[in-house]
Amino acid sequence: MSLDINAIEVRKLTKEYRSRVAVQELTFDVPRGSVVGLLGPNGAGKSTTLRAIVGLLRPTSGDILIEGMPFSALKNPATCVGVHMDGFGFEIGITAGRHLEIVCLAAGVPRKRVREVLEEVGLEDEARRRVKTFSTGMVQRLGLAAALIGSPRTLILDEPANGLDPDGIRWLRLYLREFAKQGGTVLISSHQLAEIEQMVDEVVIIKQQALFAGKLGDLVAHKNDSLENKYFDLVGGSTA
Amino acid sequence: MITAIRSELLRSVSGLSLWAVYLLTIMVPVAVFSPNDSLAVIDEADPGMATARLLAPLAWSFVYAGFIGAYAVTREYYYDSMDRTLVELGFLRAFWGKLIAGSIMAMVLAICMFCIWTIVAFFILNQHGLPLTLTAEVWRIYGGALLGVFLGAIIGGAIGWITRNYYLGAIIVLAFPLAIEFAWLGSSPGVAKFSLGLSLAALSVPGFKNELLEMAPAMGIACVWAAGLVVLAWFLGRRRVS
Repeated sequence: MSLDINAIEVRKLTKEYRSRVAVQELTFDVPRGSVVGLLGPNGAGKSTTLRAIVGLLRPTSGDILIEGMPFSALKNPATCVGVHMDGFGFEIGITAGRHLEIVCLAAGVPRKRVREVLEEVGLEDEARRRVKTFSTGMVQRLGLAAALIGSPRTLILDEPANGLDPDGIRWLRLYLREFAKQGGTVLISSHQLAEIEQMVDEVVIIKQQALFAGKLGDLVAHKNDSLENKYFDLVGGSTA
Repeated sequence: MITAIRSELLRSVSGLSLWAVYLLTIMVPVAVFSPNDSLAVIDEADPGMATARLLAPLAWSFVYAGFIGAYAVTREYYYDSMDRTLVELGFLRAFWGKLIAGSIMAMVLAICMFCIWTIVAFFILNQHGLPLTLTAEVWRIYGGALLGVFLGAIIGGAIGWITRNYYLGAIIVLAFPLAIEFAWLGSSPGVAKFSLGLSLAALSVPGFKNELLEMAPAMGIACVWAAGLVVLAWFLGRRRVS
């Protein structure tokens, strides 16, 4: 595969925890300018895969490249890949604006980016509020804002719709589609299959190993098909 | 690396928890100050010696410096925000950025504390009819304490990376020197003087009461402690991430 085509390449990724295998020989690509959904049941290895991609855990074996190099080789990761994952917290006594200023300095970008990303995620009036006063949905938006600070070309998002209301979910879908339309790449993990179906170009369905990796249109080929039906066919509907 | 340090410096002056750090900075010298001993001595001492005796508690500034260094790391584990910092900076920049920013923050606070404590000493001396006299020994107390603050913050940061837990980190950097090492000095001074905290204290008041190490061995022991803990912290941290 050409590095010019793919923003992320995962090759034979295996992660073992003592006797348990979280991910085994997982291989897939995330093409540039596309939105790719990473799907699978609980415990399938989605979060393990995402955490391995961004260097938060060391794979047992396999290779992962972002922008053609391992995450650890990125000189300024925040400007290459924006990451927001379920479980990433914020210190609640700090204001939203200050959190983003800290990220701005880390990424080496001008502080005016704080205002810009707050506007992008719809929190422009909340910069001076401490995070402890935020709703779950607002914290999710702030997490996305932090991921966007460095103007990365690639976004990696784990369950970004958790806590968002229907309006927020719709906003997220439109935002990510627009991000991809402008050349950005998104790898997103979610359990909301109907929402994912409206958002992604490709899907990777895993259950420790890849069950399917390719274009959504190749999986959901007929009018009467749906991602949900195909998903349960692949992972085994009786266990879902 | 500069961007990481600037980012961590901004974090270190952000948030409501900062006030607890300020309070601790003031409380540590107060906690180790022994008014009965010190005031009895200054009545019989010359101004230079009396000034040095009153400023001796600054030698324990490494205690709050250790907390500041550890807090730069453990606050992020407490709030589950460390993973975000690691993906923004990468492990190398996050590790050194926090250690260096923690030591800078600790030294700035220490200098402020030195000023406050010196003003307090001035008034105490004044009440006893003595002038504040900045002798070579007094400057050595300031310099040694600042060196102890630097190394203490680095050591605290390393302990933060090793424990990855706010409470455990705080117990180690606060309770160990203030409770255990003090008690140990009373029971086994020959061994205790080589301990982490007492070697740092000896940088400021070498040979204090003939119980602490002299300057050169104290410096060597403190550097070995700092280097060993930083290497261990790096090894443990690097093992977890790719």
